[in-house]
Amino acid sequence: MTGNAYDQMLRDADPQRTAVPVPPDEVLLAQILAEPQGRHVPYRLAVIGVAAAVLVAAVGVVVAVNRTSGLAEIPAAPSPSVASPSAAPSASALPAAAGSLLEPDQVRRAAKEGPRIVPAAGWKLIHVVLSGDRLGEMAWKKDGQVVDSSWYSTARYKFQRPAQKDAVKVRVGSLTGWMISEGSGRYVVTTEPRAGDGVWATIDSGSGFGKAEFLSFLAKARTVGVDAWIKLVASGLTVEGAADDRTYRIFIEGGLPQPPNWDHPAIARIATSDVRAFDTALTKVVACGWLTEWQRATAKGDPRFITPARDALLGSGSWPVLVNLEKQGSGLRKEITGMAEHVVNGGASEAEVEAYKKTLC
Amino acid sequence: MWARPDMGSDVSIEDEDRFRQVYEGSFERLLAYALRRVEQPADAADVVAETFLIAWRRGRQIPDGDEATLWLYGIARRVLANHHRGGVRRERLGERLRQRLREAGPADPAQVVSDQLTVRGLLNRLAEPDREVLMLSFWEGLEPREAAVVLGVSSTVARARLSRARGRFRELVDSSNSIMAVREEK
Repeated sequence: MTGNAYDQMLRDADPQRTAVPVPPDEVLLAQILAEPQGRHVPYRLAVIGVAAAVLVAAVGVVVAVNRTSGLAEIPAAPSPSVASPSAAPSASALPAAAGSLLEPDQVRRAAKEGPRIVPAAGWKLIHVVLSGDRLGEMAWKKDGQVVDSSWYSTARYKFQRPAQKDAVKVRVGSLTGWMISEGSGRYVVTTEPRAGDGVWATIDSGSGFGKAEFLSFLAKARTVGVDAWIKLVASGLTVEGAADDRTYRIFIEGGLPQPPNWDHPAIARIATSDVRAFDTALTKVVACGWLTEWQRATAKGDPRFITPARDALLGSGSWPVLVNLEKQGSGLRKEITGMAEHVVNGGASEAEVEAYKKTLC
Repeated sequence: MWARPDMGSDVSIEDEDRFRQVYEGSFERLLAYALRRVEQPADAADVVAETFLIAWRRGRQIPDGDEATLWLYGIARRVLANHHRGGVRRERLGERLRQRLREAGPADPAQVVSDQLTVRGLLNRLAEPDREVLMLSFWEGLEPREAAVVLGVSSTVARARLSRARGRFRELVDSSNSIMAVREEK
């Protein structure tokens, strides 16, 4: 099967694909408009990105599978580590780094395990993340176009190897690959396992690439040795990209609970390549988000929102990023845990909460 | 600003008109989003009612244009989380919609071909982030940039996650005897 066939299989499985549309319910609209509009303090950063991973990850979202289908009952997938604000992982989950948002150990491993592809000049590296043993991903950007590459261990190759009758053989530096069209101007190359360690990679054009244009991208890319790749990455990853990746790791692997109304693009405003300064700024924004959520939730008196906000704030003492910062001499952990205790348990006044927000937000 | 005397609040005509537009423009997509993620259709009414109520209370935080629907999906994700966790319902709000959906009932199993059910079963075996990005992409029809807004991650992460989730889905399909058997029968 081609990639298109798998994608079509997913589209076909949409339980709403053939559903009769239900027009907007006017009674519900009237009921809602009769409710008073809230006057809570708007979250400073709330413009887009409302997803609250800390809440959503705690729940395996249930796909509407008909239980009479005869399929075996499938247990819910495990939730990522951000599932519970009060169950933060150990501080060791966050590797220490110094002088750069890139973590030297991660870069060395990526260099050793990854395909070490380097595109032509002009393509900026915006993403490098290791996801597991011989598993990682990176992305490059130029003039609004983004190319992704993921690498994998040999064991997974049999599942992704394209049917060669549909594929075009290509060279990417020292690697041989097979390119297939996924439709909508999207092309994916799967490289053959590398001699020695069997690592193989996919290179995904995203949509909107012409075939000739992507072939040109592949032809101009090269593969380099470990040391050369480390140098290129260390100097090549954009500040925004490094900030994105570190934020992702701090949330997902470091267990920092993401507040509701999280505005991811706000990360771009933390313009520093100093790890300590970045972690400090990010943690303050997160603490600010939870403090704002606490205000909103208590104003509504709704325990569904109060409980996660209280757990997140009172659990701040075990946030790995704060523990790490404290080890480096920062007083931020004490500052935030003191604030949390005062606000949640100490009956801080509205003026005192606003004063805390001024220092954090 | 014009105050509605019956509500005693500072709701403006502009606020209400804008909300009406958002409601009319997003209702069907939001209901479909909820229906895809609950077991009983009537439960989707709770999710839709709660989501729009939160949006109404947030008033001017609702983004403009197409971003409004993405923003609503993000709220609906949180509402669903609470719905699954505690089964909290708003019994009054949206009762008529709940009744309409209850009457519609769940999809007739006889109308759903077996490989569609198998694919949904395979989706259930994926980790939630992979499953959600696939559902947002192939069921809600969102571009990675749009899915990123709903998920609260960067576009780059959403794209990478989608790429990986596609790969994981293929692995499951290729190792699924039942779905391959269905394909071979055709």
